[in-house]
Amino acid sequence: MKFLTLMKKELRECLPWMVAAAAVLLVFGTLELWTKADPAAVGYRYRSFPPLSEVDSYELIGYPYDDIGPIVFLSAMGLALALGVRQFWTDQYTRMWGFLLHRSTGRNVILAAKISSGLVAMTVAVGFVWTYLFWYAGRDGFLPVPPPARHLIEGWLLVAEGFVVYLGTALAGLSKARWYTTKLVGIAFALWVVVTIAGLWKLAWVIAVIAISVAILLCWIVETFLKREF
Amino acid sequence: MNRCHIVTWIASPAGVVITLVMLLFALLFVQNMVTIYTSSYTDKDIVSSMRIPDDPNERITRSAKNFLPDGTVHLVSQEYKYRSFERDYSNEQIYDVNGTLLWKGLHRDCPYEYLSWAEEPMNSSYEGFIQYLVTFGVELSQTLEVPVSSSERTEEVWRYDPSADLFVGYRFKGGKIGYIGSTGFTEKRTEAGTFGKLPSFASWTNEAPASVIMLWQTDKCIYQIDFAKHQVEKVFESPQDNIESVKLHHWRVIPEVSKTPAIRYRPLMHCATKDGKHHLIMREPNEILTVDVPREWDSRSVKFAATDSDVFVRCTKSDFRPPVQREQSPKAWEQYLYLREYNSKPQKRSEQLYKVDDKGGLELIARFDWVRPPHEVRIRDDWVKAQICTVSPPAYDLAWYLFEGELLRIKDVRTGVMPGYAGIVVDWRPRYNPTNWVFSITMMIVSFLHGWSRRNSLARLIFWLVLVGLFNLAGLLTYLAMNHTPVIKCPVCGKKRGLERVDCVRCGSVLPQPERKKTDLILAG
Repeated sequence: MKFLTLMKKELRECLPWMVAAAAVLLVFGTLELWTKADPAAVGYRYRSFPPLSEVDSYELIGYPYDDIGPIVFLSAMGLALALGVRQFWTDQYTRMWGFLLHRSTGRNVILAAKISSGLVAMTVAVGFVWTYLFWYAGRDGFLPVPPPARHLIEGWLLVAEGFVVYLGTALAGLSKARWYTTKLVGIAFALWVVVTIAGLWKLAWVIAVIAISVAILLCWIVETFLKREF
Repeated sequence: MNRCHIVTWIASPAGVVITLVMLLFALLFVQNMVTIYTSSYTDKDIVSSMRIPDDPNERITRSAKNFLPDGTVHLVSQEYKYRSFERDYSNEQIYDVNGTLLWKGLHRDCPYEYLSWAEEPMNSSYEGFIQYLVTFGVELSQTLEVPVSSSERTEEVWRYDPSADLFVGYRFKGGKIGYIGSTGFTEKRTEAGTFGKLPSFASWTNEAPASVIMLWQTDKCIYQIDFAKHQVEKVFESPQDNIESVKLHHWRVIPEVSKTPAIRYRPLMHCATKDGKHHLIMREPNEILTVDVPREWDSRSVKFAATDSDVFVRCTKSDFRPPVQREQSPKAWEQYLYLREYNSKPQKRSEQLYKVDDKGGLELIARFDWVRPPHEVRIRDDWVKAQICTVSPPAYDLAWYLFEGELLRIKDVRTGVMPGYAGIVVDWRPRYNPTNWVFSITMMIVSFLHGWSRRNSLARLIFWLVLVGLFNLAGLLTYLAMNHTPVIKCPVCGKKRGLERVDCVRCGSVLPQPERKKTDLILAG
């Protein structure tokens, strides 16, 4: 019960950021889809080649979501950073730790409520909106070639990358080290994970890397939070 | 086991590893920047290499050895002007084998027509191209899409589905057409056969309205796909071993830019398999010929051409063999040593032209032998980079010593992030440099001096010393980031002691409690 109450409080505080991220993704994503469905743009994409000529392999590459992918990515990253800072890094302005730690509940419940609310916020604000956009693009007759199902999973993996960055930001917020020593290691690690994932071609590997980094960051956060003096 | 213990056991080592990895990347970034900055001062102009050399031996080495259909050899030297690589406007000098100048002028005015040879298609995809397409990234994965157009607009789009290994066709106005697989066109997915592992493909267009024809090469088969006609033709199937390379000559109908050719060629596909056999698939009329070339010939230097009357093969031979082939012993192989060894000695070379009979036998009709002079090898930035690598972790050398072959194999892969990480170890290792060892030992001494008064256990201190020794500067910075605690002067022995330990490491006396103040009375007892 206390957990749910705390989670509701966290979600209430995160709501403006969630709405902002969802609105950005929805508006710009829909605009991009309309642009892609415009007959002139579709005709441009499927170029015709001159007769009796060689066709470069790169000219046959299609980029079904080359503009929407970055919007999903930026929304997820922006929301992750905003939530991480809002929930773990603004103590001097909001005195949140003083307020929270004097409730009649354990530290682990407080931490679990914060991280769970972050996960829910990412899922609802970016994940669900992305699923809606994918469904919208895949309707019969909207695009000549519907987007492949693999892209739905890839979009959700971008959301999962955002969750890794959220955890990295949370760790940096909890660390009491100075900024020029190890305070920002959490964020640096999360960014490294994002860069590393960008070169993988098997989705199973991407999922494995994300799962391992989430596990490591969660353990590190729990240890830092439980040991930290507030 | 206590849940908190599990978290600590994971979190503490993870903290060390992640901090170390981040610092290794930071160090690599600095090393890279310094190398790029210094290399900008050592770049040399490449214009000299585009001129025809005056030295006859050098000129012969760098000239193209071309054959006329009767077996006459000409040495053709080319000089590009203004860094323009447009061949028609290059200056050409043609010599016979005795060094007599036969002709000079622009390439487009050349009076001779030499035999041309089957080549790998310039536009073909490389092995792993499909993996490159489906690589996960911010822009999401890409797809291979082949448009089929009428004279006015796109009518169909065929998309390759990597998971099903076949093409799926869509009408441009909406709706699915069917599937193209190894068994041809079908409307049902279950009836479409898969192609098989894809090493590469090449595409071109036919006459107007231009539709794409694709040569789809798998491990064992070569298919030619005509997307407009929904047709799949199995051009070749290797009976035994996998296909190694495919070269084409006049296979595609590509209009000649220059004058009308005097030599009439037959369309030819040269397919080399890994068992050393060369399969020639010829058209006009259709014919398949298998040629067994001698084992000692380097398969990559064998080239075929088929004219109306004859089939020719040429090969380039060299007596030089590297001391140990990379494939035989990856441990002993290094590109630098190979190049130095190869270039430091004069090399006997030979160009040979054979005629192929109806049964695949070879008849020598011309050969040209020459000696390639030794070259001085200077690998740019080698010295500068060696100095910069002094601060690289000796652990890279250890990884190289243990997994040299595996690292080189991973580095050669063209997709994914692992080649990049393998490349870091291969390119930035200190190469057993003694200065690097001295530097590492210095780092260990600094850590020892820092850690001795702060130590909690000897095993822990030894672990950190080993880590610093293995990772050098990055190791020292990790050690400091994870272990720096304040020290005080011991009130008993007067030496330094860390505040994280209750008793002094030297005299064993416990840490004195601070004197009570008035306000402490509230808490006393």
